[in-house]
Amino acid sequence: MSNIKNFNSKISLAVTVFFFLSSAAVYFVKNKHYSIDNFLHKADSYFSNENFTQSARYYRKLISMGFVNENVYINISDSLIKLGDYKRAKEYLKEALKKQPSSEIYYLLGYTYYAESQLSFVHQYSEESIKYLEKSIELDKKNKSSYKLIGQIYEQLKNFEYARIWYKKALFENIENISEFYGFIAYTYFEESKWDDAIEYYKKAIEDNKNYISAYCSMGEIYRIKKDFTDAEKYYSQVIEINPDYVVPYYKIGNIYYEQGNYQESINWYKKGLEKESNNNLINYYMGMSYKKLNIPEEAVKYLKTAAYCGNDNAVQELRTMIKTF
Amino acid sequence: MFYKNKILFFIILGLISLILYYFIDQQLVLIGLLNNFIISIGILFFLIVLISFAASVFISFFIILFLKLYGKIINTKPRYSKRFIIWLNFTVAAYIISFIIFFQAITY
Repeated sequence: MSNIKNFNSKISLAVTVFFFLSSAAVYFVKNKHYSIDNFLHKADSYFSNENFTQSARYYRKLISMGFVNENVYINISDSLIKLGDYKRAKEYLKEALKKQPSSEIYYLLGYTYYAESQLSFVHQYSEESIKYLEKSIELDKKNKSSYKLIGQIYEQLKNFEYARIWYKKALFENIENISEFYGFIAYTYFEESKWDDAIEYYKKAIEDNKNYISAYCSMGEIYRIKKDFTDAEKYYSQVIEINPDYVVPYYKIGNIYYEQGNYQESINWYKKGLEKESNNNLINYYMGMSYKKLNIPEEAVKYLKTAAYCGNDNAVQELRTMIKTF
Repeated sequence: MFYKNKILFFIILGLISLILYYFIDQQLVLIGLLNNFIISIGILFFLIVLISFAASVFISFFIILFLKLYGKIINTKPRYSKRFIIWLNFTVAAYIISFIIFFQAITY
């Protein structure tokens, strides 16, 4: 019996050893046939086609094959960020920093912490993010993305003064596309309801870039808030001149007339907006409301129904009220 | 295999699960699914055991049937242990399944 038991154990161990050895042999043979160039080509191709699961898979294999390259680390981290695996992305970026620190890697690390803070609302992540972004700027004073992201983080923290400081630092470094940063500074004033300062910077942004649509829209909005409807309409009309297919200015001008009680004129503008985007729930809602104010319930119901169908909750509420009234 | 020392077999299977997890993780296919190392290995171990057991029961059924038929043909009652046959099939199936997973995990 003891002999049999020994025989059984020996066979079992032999099979197990064979299993491990054959697995190791297969692994060795397979790896021998893998080529770095082929994998790099595949990984880059997947990355440019936004297939991030596959690109991360191949970049990781490349790293495990000993292929150390800044771009590989940047791309694998970028892929992992896109896939929401921030923990691994940070690991790779920190590994890359040890090998070859660069402004781009510090920026990506800062961005990873920022993206993580957006999900977890942990204040500490924002601080970490700023720390890395500052290092990124230390290495490259013209790293536009880093200035922009620091500013955005401070904006989210409602620290507009600090956000402005960083945007102004970017302007001081004479980076490209300064109109964008004038726009950011203006936005911080806008958020603080400092209309005159906001207007000053939006004007600077427009001076630098005559086609800066969002600056024109914001100017229109500020003048609308200030009840200066003539200037508000002027700025929105300029947006239409730049891009006649952009639906927002039609709707905004319609709202200016709606606010003044000129419902017929507001309908004219909403109609123009609906020609561009017939299923816009806001335009349909205000169209319906304008008809309601003009006491044309059939038309009002028609547009409110469309708005409700397109997901406008106010339209649903309004329709319920109208049904009760009639 | 390891009929008299089943615990040793499960320890080896645990080790295999750990190695498999490493290679599967290298492929990054578990992103967002199984990030916990211990739980992942546990699930992998459990899956291998479950599939191997199902396969072994299936195969053992035919083997026992064959042995019975063979006994009838040669007119002798065959001597076999059902538990031994199922266990043997289970261990072999576990190794085969582990190898298939390993092969897939190292294929790019």
